[in-house]
Amino acid sequence: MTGQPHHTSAVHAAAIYRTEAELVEAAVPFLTEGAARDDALILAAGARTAATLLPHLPPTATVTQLEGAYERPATTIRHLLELLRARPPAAGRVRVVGQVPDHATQTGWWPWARYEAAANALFGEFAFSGLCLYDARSTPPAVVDDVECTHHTLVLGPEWRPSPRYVDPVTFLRRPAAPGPDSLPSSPPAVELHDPTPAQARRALQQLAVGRMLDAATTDTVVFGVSEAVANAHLHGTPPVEVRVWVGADRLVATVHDTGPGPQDPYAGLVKARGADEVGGYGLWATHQLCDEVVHLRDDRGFTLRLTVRRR
Amino acid sequence: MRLIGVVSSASGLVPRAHLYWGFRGREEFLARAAEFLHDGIVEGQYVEFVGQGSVEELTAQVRELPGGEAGLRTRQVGVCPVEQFFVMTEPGVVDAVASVQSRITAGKQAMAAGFSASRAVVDATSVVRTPRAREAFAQFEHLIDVEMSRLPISAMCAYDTRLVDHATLAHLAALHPVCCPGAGPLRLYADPGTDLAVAGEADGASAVLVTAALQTVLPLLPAPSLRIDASELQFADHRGLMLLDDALAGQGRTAVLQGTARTLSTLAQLLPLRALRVEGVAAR
Repeated sequence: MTGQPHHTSAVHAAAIYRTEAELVEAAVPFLTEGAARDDALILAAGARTAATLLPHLPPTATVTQLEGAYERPATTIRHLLELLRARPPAAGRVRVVGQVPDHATQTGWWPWARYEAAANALFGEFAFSGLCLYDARSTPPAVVDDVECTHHTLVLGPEWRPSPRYVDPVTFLRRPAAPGPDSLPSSPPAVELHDPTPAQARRALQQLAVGRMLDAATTDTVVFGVSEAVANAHLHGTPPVEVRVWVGADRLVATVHDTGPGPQDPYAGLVKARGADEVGGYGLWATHQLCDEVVHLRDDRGFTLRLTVRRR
Repeated sequence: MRLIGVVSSASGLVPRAHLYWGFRGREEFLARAAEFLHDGIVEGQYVEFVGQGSVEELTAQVRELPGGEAGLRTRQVGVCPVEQFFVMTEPGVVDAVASVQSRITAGKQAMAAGFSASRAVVDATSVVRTPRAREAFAQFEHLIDVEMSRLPISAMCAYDTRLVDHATLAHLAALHPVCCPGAGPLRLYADPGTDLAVAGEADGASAVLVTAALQTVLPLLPAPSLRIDASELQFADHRGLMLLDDALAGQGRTAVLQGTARTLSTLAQLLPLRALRVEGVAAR
């Protein structure tokens, strides 16, 4: 198959480019066709990519630039779903050219791998066309592997081809996760709690914040995330619950562990929990919205939620 | 500016305060009563000692307190059996509205007599012994708190924790701006600048308490749309916010929580809240 396919359902493609020319060959026709069809065009990429692409677009193309749209996977999903749901049925497609930031592909890829897999299912019912850009020169091979498994179409220059390695989202999301290690947890934790209540965990973190002179925004976010995680561990997990917190120069890392299997929903945290109601069920999702990185770790000892909050 | 917080003694709550104290035994009650009464005497306030027993029995107890004998002699200190201190609809059940009016009148009389304010130490254990009595007294607690936020009236409301169940104690404690340690996670109290103020923590663990306190307070607030000062709200998780929202919506009310941390307003924007809006501030 060559050239862009004409879809009525969602499109989720990846362009793994090696040169600026390949980037232009992949993305510009995608946007140009969208302009001709009166689609909503969104460029969610860094300034360098935008500067490469925009001069090649026809003057009539109206592109909304969203730099910073890929801050957190769950936030990106929320914003895109809001956009798609608000789009009138008779309107054209929402056509997004997106690029996960370099630092995420280098050191914080796993949450974005979940995003890329989940996007196939979450945006599947909408008139959505997404072209995800990955620079082969800087993207680690393991990330390229995941990109090929999480996009049903791969774009090389002007050619659009089905990805032979595509894996359906649930299968991919149920794979044993291999998030990158964080260097902080190799040092002794600043806080270590055995089976605390959410209130006890909050108290310990607030004392830590005073002792280490942490700013209010960082403290509030990590206190929220840990409290929700401890509440969930007591509600849905298996005791005992263990909490550990490390303080780095640029970030806080907290782990909340219980001996249960962890959330069974493969989309847990990326979207609101099924069964979320008027009095609860939003804790893990809200944590994914507010904390800078949330990683689900499973091993033979149980489930660990690892939260990272950058110091403001 | 009202006194707000958790305190480890009844000393220093001047010029006025509305204090909850759960005591375990007469000795503890009298120790806290002595502290609260002493500050009133020093401040030139009229001080009343209220509890179970006859006037003679209460007088005998006050005589044992530091300054009690002298206070009784100069009539700066008085005693009153609890069933006479409140207006009762039936034995053990207060008439909340009439009792508040009675306390306002008594406060004015104290001022007219030359005292700087009035304060009372009340062992209220005997007026919260049944569900109906408890709800009536809970209403009194909030209504008198409203008056205490603007009039020179103070009280230490004391309850024997061996005789009152934990949920009732937490409910009553939640209606005071100042509490003893371990009284409960959340407090709702009157704030002269807004319709209500909230302090402490609202999370899933405090769900029953949040609901009970709001069920007491909301019917007593006239405005359909409330401004709630939340600058002393230390924490709320998603469940706490949703419970507040649910309680408000259930009574056809709306509210704005003002002065919270920015994180909380961000969280609120994520939730399907029907009746509650949260206004955060950059730093507090």
